[in-house]
Amino acid sequence: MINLENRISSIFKNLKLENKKAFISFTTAGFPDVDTSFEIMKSIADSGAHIHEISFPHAEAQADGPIIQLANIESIKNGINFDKVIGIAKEMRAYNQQIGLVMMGYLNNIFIYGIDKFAKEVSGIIDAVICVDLPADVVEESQLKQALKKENIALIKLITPTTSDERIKKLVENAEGFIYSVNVAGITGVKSAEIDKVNSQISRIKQYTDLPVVSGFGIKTVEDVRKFSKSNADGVVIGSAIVEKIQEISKKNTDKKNIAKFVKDFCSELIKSLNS
Amino acid sequence: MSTNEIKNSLRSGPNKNGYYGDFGGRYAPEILMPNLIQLEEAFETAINDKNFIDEFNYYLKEYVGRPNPLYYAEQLTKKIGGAKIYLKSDHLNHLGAHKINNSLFQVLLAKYMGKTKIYCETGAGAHLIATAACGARFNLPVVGYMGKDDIFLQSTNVLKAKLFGASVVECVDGTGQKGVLKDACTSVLKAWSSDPTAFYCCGSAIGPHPFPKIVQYAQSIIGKEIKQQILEKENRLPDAIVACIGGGSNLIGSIHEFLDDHDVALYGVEAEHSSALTNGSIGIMQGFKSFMLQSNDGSATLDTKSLASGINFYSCGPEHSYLKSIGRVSYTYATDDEAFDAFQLLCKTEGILPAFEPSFAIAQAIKLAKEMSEDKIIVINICGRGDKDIDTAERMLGDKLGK
Repeated sequence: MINLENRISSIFKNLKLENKKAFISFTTAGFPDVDTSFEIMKSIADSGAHIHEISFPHAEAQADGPIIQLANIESIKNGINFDKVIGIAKEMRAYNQQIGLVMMGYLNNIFIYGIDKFAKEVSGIIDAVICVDLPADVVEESQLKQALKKENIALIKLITPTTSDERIKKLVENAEGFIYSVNVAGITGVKSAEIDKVNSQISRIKQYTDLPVVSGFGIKTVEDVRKFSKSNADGVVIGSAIVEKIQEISKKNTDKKNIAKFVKDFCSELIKSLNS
Repeated sequence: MSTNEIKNSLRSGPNKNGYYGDFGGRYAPEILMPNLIQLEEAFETAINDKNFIDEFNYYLKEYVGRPNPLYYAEQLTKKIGGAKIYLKSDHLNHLGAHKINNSLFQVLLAKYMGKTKIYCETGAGAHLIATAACGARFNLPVVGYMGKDDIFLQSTNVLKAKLFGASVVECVDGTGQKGVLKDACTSVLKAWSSDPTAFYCCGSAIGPHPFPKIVQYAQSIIGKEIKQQILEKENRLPDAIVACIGGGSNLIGSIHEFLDDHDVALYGVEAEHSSALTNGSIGIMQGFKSFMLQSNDGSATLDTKSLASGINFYSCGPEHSYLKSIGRVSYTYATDDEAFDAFQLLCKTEGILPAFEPSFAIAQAIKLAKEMSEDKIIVINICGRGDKDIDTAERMLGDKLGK
């Protein structure tokens, strides 16, 4: 049986040839509402984002700051559920076959849905999963990893400023897709990343793995992204900053096409700064 | 890893990854993992360090006021007409609740680890004032996280904590409108993630491993005393032990010593509208796997409600889920009305003012005692005193209180 190369690996390989970095966007499924969130994701794909993280919201998001937490609560209130998030992922894949799709969130949704059932359901749709509260030390980690592997989906590992070298070695051992380097000790969207620390953490990780390393948390502005264009990261993740833009614009403007256009323009600008 | 493992015992605690059967574990973001591992190692070292344990025992006696009485509630027993009812008096501890046992232990552990700042969460505020007091005593600054609604309901406890030098952070859910214990739990985990060199003093037998183990260890002094005292008074073990459960620290503390004594029936009593063990399903939130009241797809907790803030919690400690799954402990619930009746009954019959939380246990114990013969013995842990609840009691009684 030929194991088809994971879409994410090809994305990074091609970017490397062009000496470019991956732009990874993150939005909350169901925010501000189910339909608009899908429009936004389509427009982000149109903007040329390489990978998009579809966040499945959780009300007790213990690693997220106020911006994403509010989006989570609002989206749950507005009727999103895990089934619908999978539905959005499917529609996104139908809309765009190039973009890498990641589903990101907390384990409980996948646990309740059923680990094997989930892996089968998203087979051929998404390319990776990030579970914020799934360290290597719990039983579901190996269960989910194996189930996803069968479907050629990567389970992404997060490494943080508090992770020791010894632990990094262990974490990257069976890692796939890319490594997510968390820039700050803390939650999303609060502290700002310091480029020197980011670089040294990524160097630390790259000692132990050849996988691409992407940098996330605390990257907020076009200026931040410009700074990161010179970092040793293979990609950057922008989450809270995009969600905050969606919050701002959706308060003033309820037309989903307009909201989507606005987000698309913001992402285009970020991408331009990253790979100028 | 557990050093006090006992073969074929229900008391041997979680396995090396923090599981009690299928429950518990350590579902924490990577940022917290090094802290949790460091804490686990320090805990195992401390409990095998005679000096540390001597210090803990010294302050349990001299500062907390242990052992507290196992009191024969003769009047209540007569009134009910069934089993002999004993009350374990954790309401007589310093600051009026069982929470101080755990706060003392963990603040000493923080000191042992050389930590310089303590975070804690709280529901009714009992854990907050206990941790604030120990922080004052051992010169460690305390930051308490408390739900907006609980701050309103338990303003006296907030005031006490501030007098002890603690600061209190108001917590709300994502809407920013309301906040209870679960919101305090999520907020404190975020604060700790952002300040990982601090010590997090977890107030109940919940959270990622090793917290359920640490809290169980510290609170087990309750059950150890019950065992010694009942043997002195009755020369035998009780037939039943009853305690209330939200997160489950006072219950696990009361019963852990008896888990292998299979003739002792054990009861946990939840509040009707936060009865995770009776009406919940298995889920994973806030770092642990347990029974919980959650939405169908696991995205959110369900709204809970209770007369007693301290047991108004959507889930319960993982060891309780395990003890339920193997049938060792019977979990039931009482209604607010039943608890409030029991609260008044203990006031009238014994001149003891229980907190609303143990009133749920009293309500269930009364039902059990009635069904048991007079030669049987039942123990209720009165895990807190009701001073914090008298304003609410006054509002509820209104004219009935008389002039």
